[in-house]
Amino acid sequence: MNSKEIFIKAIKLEKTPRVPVTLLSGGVWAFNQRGMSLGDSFALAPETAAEIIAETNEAVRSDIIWAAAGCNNLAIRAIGGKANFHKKGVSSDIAEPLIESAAEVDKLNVDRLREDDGINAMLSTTKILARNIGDRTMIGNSQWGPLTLAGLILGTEKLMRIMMKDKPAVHAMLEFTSELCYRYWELFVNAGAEFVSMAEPTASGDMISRKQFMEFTMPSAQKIRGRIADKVTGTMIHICGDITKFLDIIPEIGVSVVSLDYKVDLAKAREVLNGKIAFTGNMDPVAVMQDSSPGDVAAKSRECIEKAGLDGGYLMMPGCDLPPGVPLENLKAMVDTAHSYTM
Amino acid sequence: MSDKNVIFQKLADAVVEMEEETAVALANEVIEKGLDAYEAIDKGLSQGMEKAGQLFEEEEYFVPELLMCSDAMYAGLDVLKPHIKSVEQGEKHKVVIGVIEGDTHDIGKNLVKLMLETSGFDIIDLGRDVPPQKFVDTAKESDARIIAIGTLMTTTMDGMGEVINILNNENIRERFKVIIGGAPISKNFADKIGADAYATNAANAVQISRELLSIAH
Repeated sequence: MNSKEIFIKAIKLEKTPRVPVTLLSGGVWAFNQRGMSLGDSFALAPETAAEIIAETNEAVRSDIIWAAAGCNNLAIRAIGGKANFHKKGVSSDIAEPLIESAAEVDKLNVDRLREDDGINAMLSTTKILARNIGDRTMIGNSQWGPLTLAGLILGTEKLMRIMMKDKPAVHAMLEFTSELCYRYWELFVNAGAEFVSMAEPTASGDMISRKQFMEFTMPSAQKIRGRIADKVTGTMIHICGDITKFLDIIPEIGVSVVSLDYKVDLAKAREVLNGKIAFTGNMDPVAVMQDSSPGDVAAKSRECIEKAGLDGGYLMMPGCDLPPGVPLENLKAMVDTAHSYTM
Repeated sequence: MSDKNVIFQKLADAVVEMEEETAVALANEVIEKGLDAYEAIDKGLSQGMEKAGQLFEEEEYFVPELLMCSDAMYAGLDVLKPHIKSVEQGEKHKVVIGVIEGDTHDIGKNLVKLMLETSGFDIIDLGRDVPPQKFVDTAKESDARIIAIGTLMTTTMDGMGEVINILNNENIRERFKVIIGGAPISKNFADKIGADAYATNAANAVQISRELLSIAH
């Protein structure tokens, strides 16, 4: 059974011959290994970028290759935002909010996604990856979820204020950002990605209440999941921070997988999610993946498997994007442990 | 409760209840009645913000609620501040605060700033995407006691260690307490880079800053 088949079985909650194991994103990390920023990678010939990504994954052996990993902010740049991709080893960021007030969202145009050079470069790279290794490796794509996009476009503090003061304005923004996320995914799915993920750090349980999560995050996430579902093999939501208090309602979004940060206990996740949807994540990206020895990473990986159980539906993964300083040996230790663990 | 204390309590409640207009009306009432503006801030607005911080820590309030509380507090403060007699302000401990270079996420930093400010610290806010050297230079120039550094991203946290390296290289490490925080930060990371403390959230940052400077609550 190849890597892709194992991944698909796992997200369908079926038992697999070994523990599936993936990275989350890893774009900044992969190009940093070659002394490049993500911005540098846009300028590469798509064949070269695809080769670097495929070669990196031969060493790492992640069961997902994230096409355009770390490039979510290209969607903001495409509609007029200022995103910086040129700091080596550092994730891209948005320098300033794109609009002053939520009402200005009407002026933004989703059709401009196709005009961005970076997106076009990444789409070409995705096509090559899908053609060369897509038969045996799952090609994934990730975009910010609707609430996070709204925060990036308006400024997260402003968004949080109107969540209290002007809910219709928030819903109008979410309408736009849902379309933006969906249309970005659609481009990559048409280019060969078969798995899509939305990253919703702004919907973290450390930021908003359960009530706000149900009011703002759930409906928009449900909607775009529903629209993309029959075009892909699976869907995922990643939420940073502690989302223990949301776990029971997350299966209602309809995604195949929920990705958990290091703050959510896997035993608790299993208790709530077992048999409903697959779950992944939790390996601490800094304390374990970056700062521990390979031996300690392996021990932590075994602990994750034992907590998450072997009933099917658990995939090993770091709890968030990889810091640039994670040693390759530590990634190998995580992957080797998943591969060698006796089921 | 005296008339004065009733108004101060109402001011605190307006902050906790996120009622900006009420906070302004009550602050005006304080001035009209000739009550002490500094006392109204200390026993009214700051008390309210402290309570809001507690509710945040207890997970009753989240970021949206805390921001609304801070809006109410600042609205009241704008009215009262011009009426404070300067002699009452005394010497405040200075804190240089900012988000480390490469990171523009500043909600966490703003909440820490807010809570420290309402607890009587004098804040020098360097904003976001701040180079390590800038923290050190500003702390030196302003004779600050604490350098507070935040980041949300795993990819930028190493810049925090750089601030401490610079302090060590300039032989001034002992002059400042360095406190760090943010989503990917842990006590272990703080120990590893040689920071004095790690704060789990904004309310905790106040408590830790007081402990570091041995200030009685």
